[in-house]
Amino acid sequence: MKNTEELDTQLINFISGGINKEYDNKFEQLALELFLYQFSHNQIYQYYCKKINRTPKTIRGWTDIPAIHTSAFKEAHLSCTPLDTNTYFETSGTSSSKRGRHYLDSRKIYQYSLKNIFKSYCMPHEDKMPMFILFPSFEELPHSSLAYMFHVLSQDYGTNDSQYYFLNGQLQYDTLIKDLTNFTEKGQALMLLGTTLSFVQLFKQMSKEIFQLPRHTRLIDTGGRKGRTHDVSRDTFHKLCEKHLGIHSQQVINEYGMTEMGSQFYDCTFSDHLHHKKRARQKIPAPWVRTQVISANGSDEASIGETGLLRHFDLANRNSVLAIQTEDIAVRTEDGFEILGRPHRSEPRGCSLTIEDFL
Amino acid sequence: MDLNNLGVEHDMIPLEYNEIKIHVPRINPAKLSSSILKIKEQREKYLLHLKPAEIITDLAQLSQLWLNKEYPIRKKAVELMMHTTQLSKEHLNIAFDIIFSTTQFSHIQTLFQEIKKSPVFQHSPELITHILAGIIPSPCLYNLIMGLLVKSANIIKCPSQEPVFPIMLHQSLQEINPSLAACILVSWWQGGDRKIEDDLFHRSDIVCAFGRNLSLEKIHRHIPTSTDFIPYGQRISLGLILKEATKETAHRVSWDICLFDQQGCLSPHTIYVEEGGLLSLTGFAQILVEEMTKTCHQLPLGNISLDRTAQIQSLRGQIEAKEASGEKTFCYSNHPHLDWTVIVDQDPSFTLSPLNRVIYIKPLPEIDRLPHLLTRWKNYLQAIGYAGPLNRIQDIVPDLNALGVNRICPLGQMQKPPLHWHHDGKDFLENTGSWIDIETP
Repeated sequence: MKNTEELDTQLINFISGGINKEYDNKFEQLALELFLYQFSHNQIYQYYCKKINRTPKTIRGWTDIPAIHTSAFKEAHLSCTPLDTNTYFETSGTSSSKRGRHYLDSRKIYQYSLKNIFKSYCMPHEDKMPMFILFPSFEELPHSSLAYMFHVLSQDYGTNDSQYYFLNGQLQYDTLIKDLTNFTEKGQALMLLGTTLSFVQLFKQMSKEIFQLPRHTRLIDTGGRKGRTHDVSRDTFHKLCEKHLGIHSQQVINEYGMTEMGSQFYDCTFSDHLHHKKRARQKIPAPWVRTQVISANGSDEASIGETGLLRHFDLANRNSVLAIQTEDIAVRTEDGFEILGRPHRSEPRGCSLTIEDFL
Repeated sequence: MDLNNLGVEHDMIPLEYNEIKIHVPRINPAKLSSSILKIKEQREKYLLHLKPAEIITDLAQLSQLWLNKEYPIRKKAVELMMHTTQLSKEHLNIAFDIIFSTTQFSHIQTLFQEIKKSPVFQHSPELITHILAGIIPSPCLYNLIMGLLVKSANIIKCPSQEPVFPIMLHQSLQEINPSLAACILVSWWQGGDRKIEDDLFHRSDIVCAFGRNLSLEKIHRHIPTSTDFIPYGQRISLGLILKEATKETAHRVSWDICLFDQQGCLSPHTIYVEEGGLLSLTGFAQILVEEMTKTCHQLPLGNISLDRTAQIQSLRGQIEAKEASGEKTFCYSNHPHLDWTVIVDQDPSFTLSPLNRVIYIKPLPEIDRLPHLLTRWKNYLQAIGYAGPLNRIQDIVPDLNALGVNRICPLGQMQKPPLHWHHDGKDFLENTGSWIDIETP
């Protein structure tokens, strides 16, 4: 079994190869090595694997690797390294609800994955761009993986006139409008980043302001770290982006990620447009990630066109668990998946009091 | 698929249930008055003159028909209800066998003996409206029987989730006795449709409503003071394994849990195992696991929705993480499948289950502690199924009753309440009719 350093070196080499490599057996080989490592070093995970009899001795391929549910991150310390050497990202939530924690001993692999995927899908031709970020800074939210992500991206790919437009939980609306006006007049393309919700709120406030932002401007929106897309449909969101900011839907890139995962997913549309590729908008896992859409029976993979719950296998999750079972509903597409949201809690089927109705 | 309701002026409305559309009758609001008049007139000229024995015979015959698996209306109901209820064909067939076995001639006759003693028997309500909800067929059947025995005209609103059973039950009655069936109107409409409900509630003597507590509150706001309102809301039930109980109890418990996928108000959320008995907490849980496996073979899962899968997986993930962290809890399941989940939890405080065959097994230090553990759930409690000598529970019955518990029955019978059961602690007969005081100078 490889030690931590050897494993990290292999994983970083693999990730550094970028997203355009062909899928090959390297993923399976690394996944099985990482599984062995995590089984040996993560006591919580080892307990679970033994309980369901999926151990390094019994599994045959990466699809057999046991997936831990995201809910487990709220109840247990899932870490392969001593906790006193760890930092963590934490899910958001109310002060009374439990939060999930994703422990990291190093953010190196996280950064490699984050940057490689982002660059390929959002900025393949530019070294740097002005970034307008509609989210609190990493100083304000030191345990938010999304804040960290924006921090890394703005540091490495943002020009000096990049800016944050959230302070103490408030959108700095007037400053944002002023700066958008300025950039429009200069004809300088920029990148807007934020949660879908923050953009929807921005559009609601923009009653009179309409922009035709310069060509090549793009907008990255995310459902936030709950993996939840806002209740606004994607079509409606694209129309709002075009109406208020003059950004064509091809340049609106949705990002899907979560606190419990090191890698993220982006709409392929912008990248496909630049490479003259025609295919449906979807999210395609990076070569170091595999994603299954699991049908409602909990075990079978859904066919293309069918919906299910997402299960990710992410080599960037070196310190915790590489296989994560989520509550996110998606439809399986030709090359990946498209997110549909979280399950709506349906009406109670009988007269038994439900947890949702009691709360 | 059309479910036609004969004799009612209605539109046919398509309701979607996953892969299929079922067209259900919806009473035409413009014709509501005339429809109500029609069933009231039928009651006057026919039902009021019918001997009770004739009504009982017809209702018993109805039950006999539905106990036959090959009965065409039952077969059609099963075929459609697989889509509306998410229950499997096998599950629905077993459920019908169980439900209709509790509405035999003798059962209906026993119920009628209770009715005879009540003032309602002398002055029966002209019109009772029943607003049904959910997927479980029993409330429809029991209310139909009650409504006819008190010789009222009845309007039954089909639940949006499962409109099939009320319609098909009515069709059966039409086959047996069209004149009796003509005293009943069965229809679907969108809950809260004021064009229908305002007029209907005013013209009803009684409105019985089933549903979520919030929905019942909304309905109640529109009930005029001249109309009696009997709400049946969301409730919780639990099981109690006394020290003397044997391992055979587990089989009966598994049926109480699995029937109707634990969705009913009589389905247990938590089973308490009294400490110091023949069965330890873990010992009982392990036996229950074997029984749940067997019972789930007989009651296989039907179509399962993604939200149900997500709920079960999330809870299992949480419990297993706690277990792995050394907390005193343990999750048994048939992972990766979703048929059943048994959670042993040393914390004795009552826990709501997410349903769908997820059961908590908890310790009870001593029987006197039980009411204390249930205090938070006052007014939501329904039934306690027990195993062991009944006299060991007698002392705590007043406290349990004060918390709202209205039924204490042997485990294995939780889903088979008697017809005259005080559902939600209420006595239907007490709410019907009117007292008259006569004084002398």
